[in-house]
Amino acid sequence: MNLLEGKISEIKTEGSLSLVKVMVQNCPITSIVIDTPESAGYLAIGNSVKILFKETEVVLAKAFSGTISLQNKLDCSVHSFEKGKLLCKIILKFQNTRIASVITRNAFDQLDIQENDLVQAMIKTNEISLATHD
Amino acid sequence: MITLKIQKKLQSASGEILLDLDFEIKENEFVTLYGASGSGKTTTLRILSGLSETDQGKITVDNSTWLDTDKKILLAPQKRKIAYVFQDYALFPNMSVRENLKYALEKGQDQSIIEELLELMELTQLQHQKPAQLSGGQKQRVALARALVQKPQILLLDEPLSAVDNEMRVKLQDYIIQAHRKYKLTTILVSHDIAEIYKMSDKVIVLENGKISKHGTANEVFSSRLVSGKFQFVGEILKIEKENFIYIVAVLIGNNVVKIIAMEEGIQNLNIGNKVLIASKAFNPILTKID
Repeated sequence: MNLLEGKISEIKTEGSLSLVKVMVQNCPITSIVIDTPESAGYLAIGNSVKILFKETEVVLAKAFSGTISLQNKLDCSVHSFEKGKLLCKIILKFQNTRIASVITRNAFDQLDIQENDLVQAMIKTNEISLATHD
Repeated sequence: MITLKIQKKLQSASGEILLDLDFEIKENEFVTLYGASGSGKTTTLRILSGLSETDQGKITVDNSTWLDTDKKILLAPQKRKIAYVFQDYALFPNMSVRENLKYALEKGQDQSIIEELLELMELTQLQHQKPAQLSGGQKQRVALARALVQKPQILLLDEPLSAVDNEMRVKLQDYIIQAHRKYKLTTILVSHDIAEIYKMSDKVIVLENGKISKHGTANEVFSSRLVSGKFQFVGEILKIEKENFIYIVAVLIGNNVVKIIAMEEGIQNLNIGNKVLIASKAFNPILTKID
């Protein structure tokens, strides 16, 4: 499980859904949740929250151009990796922390990933969970 | 509404402790008392039912006072509209299921409640059997039905399901929830089973050495962080398999085994038998109708 910490900077609500923008230093990350500021007390501008997402939900792109529907794009560099026959796990440096991505071995070979490569890690808005300490 | 404020010195394995409680339970709420042995859970139920005395305190239920040590008020147990079910079934062995229920009727009470409870607890087929012919789960259903004959307001359950196997336990939980809703009971359960507590309780009160250490919903009490995921279950780890750098964790949720992919960091503190919270975004699961 990848974990980042940030502060809520924007909340848009429609019905019982909220689109929550969290700033992780200067990088915005958005999450969609079935909660509203009325139903969940932690949803307030300025509140510190933890951002959780699974390694298997992290898409990697290298020298990417064009437009894409994925909203969360994190500029990272490759720290290290482990290769399996089917899957690969890549440890990425993001800001002053690490996140991990698990992609197929085929994708890893196509991207020709090497240590210190600059890559973008992308995560769909609906794959990001928010957590808070009570 | 039950309001309870009591103090009583207890002898526990670790010496003398002071049971010191102050809480309210709303009408029709399902509340679980959770805590280590000797923390005062059973004593609390016994004081509420009038089976144990207290050093000092006050209990009011709706507008009537059941206990007030200052005013020397102590309502007799039989005058409190309470039903109490223990792990021990305490059925009369020489009486049939139906006779056990009938024995609990008050003088002049309408007998139709007997048929209704036999039906609700699915005991109609077994009504002429003696307790010795019944399984543990069936006996506990009879004990529950018998406790409800006098139409109590409050149902106290002291680990009623700890002696039955897991499959029967899950079914009995459903019977209890049905009875709780149908008879608009206020129910207080003592349980150690976190999955059971999640399934049944509106609120949880955690006792530690006679004091309330936490209270809230099961999620607030048992998960150290609040996760936004709406797809949440509590389960027990059955198996952890390693596949290269990926771990496949098999978890028992109710009667179903699910498998979850985790990384090494995610399973570091996990062992077989541990209770875990499984959370996912509500966006991921796929719904398919089954006939």
